[in-house]
Amino acid sequence: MKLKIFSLISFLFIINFWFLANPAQAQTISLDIYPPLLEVTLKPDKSITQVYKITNNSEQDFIMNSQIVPFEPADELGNAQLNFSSQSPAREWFSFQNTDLQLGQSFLLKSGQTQQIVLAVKTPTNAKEDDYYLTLLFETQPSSLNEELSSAQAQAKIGANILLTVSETGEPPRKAEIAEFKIQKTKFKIIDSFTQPQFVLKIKNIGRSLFKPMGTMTTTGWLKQKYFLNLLPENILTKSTRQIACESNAESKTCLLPSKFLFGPYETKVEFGLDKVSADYSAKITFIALPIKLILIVLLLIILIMIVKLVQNRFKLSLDK
Amino acid sequence: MKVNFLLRTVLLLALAFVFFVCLLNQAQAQSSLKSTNYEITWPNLNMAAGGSTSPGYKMGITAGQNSPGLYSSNGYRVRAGFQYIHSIIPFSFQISTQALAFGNINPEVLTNNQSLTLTVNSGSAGGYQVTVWENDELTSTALSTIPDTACDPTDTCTQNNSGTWTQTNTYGFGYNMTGTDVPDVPPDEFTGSKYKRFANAANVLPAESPVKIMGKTPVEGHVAGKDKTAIMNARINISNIQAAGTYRNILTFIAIPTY
Repeated sequence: MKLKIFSLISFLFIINFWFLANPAQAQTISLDIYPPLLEVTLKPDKSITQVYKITNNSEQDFIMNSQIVPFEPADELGNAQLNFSSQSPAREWFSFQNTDLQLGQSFLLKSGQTQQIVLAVKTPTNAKEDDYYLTLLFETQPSSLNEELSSAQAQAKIGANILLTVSETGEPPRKAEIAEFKIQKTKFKIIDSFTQPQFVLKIKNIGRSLFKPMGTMTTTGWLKQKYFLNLLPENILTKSTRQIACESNAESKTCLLPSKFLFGPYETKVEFGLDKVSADYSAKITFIALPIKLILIVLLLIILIMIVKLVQNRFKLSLDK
Repeated sequence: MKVNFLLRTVLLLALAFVFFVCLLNQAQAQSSLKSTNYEITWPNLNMAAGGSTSPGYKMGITAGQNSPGLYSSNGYRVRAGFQYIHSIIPFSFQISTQALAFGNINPEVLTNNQSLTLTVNSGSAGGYQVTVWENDELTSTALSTIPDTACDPTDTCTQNNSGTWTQTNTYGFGYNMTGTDVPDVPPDEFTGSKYKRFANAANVLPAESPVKIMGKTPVEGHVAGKDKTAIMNARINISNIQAAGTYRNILTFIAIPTY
């Protein structure tokens, strides 16, 4: 009998917990998008399509909307600044090929549902040969809440970037300039032997189309030992400068030299090509690694020992007297 | 005696240098990088965009190719995804609540706080950013407003720069951030009760843009992975003479991968 009562209470508790817990979960907004990036090179008067998947992982259905928004580099680190008021003509070149959905049209995305979107890009005959950078954005519609409560409603927008190059030949003029190549936080080209030097490489795009730098940073020591850092092939957009990251065994992609100890003079040379591995562009820096901290510690120790010995000698002398 | 001691020290140091130089300095080249979420290889890879069909539509396959000859005939070249990441993990974004419900707001106190959690899965992206802005100041149905905070007069804040908010007679609406990938420029931007005001889409002179509150690019040290979280703590403080009413606005959070 006791067991039955216990089971009943447990059952009621679980049911109660389930119904109370769900409303809190239902408040989340959770969206997925794929692919995150699309790079397209297209002739004028041509079209392509690309499938996107947008998923609602929330516990609740959402009314969604879509839009194409131009963006530009926000800084030299790879962040983007969306320009909602831009009048870029490229916005008109995009449409959805879904039979039941248009770009900019609201649609219901149910909880757990994935909506496939077929994005079409069609360049007009007179499309100017240039680069166009845009973001395909999907946004939730803020839900209606209790009118009696002061609140800030949350709206989520999730997007994927599109890098569109309009070109007749498929090989638009690409040109780069090394804006900066140095070791971070170093003065007088001297580093401590136990500090891994971190290189800063900034490349400026002075051409008419985006490119990816492909190449290597090679550091050579006085014993001809070599260290290699491959440049991460990230897009550098037109009229912008971007600091380049490096491939590395570490999770972080900073250009950190993979060495725990360096000693003597070193030369680091960077060589890269645009969208191909080559040595079309190059620059080099030299630096000297010295165990500055170790020398300071040893000097301090020597001075300390000498002082101790001096004090001991004077103490002995005073005792002898 | 002293000379011997110095000689021994120098000799020991020289031996230590030779040891480090000979044993530790080895060339290290990298060709690939793997984790549970992604694999990175180098230097060259083309990815094809997938074709698909469904009852709603029908389309052909769009595929990437690098040959100039093919470009001449086809007139397109497409690459979906990041060149250096092999992953089909979608880019995900989650907000823990649909509203920061402040309810009844007490005047002249710094306890009208509400928070929400932002979660990002950046698996297939080389980096990402989450930005935020408000559609307008908190506004009542009678069109009274709670202005965006300017923080304490001794350490003011804007939408881009944080300031201290410790005084109960500092009014307005603002926020601070903690958690993974919260920008730390300048360092310790949000430590010590520091707040910012929200960028306001309704401001036109000068016009304002959404402000980054979370995210990293590769060069900022982005590490691809799941469940990156940041917490936004929003605060309202009003004066005793603030008009009664229900105040509301909309905060738009925009999550996009890097390029």
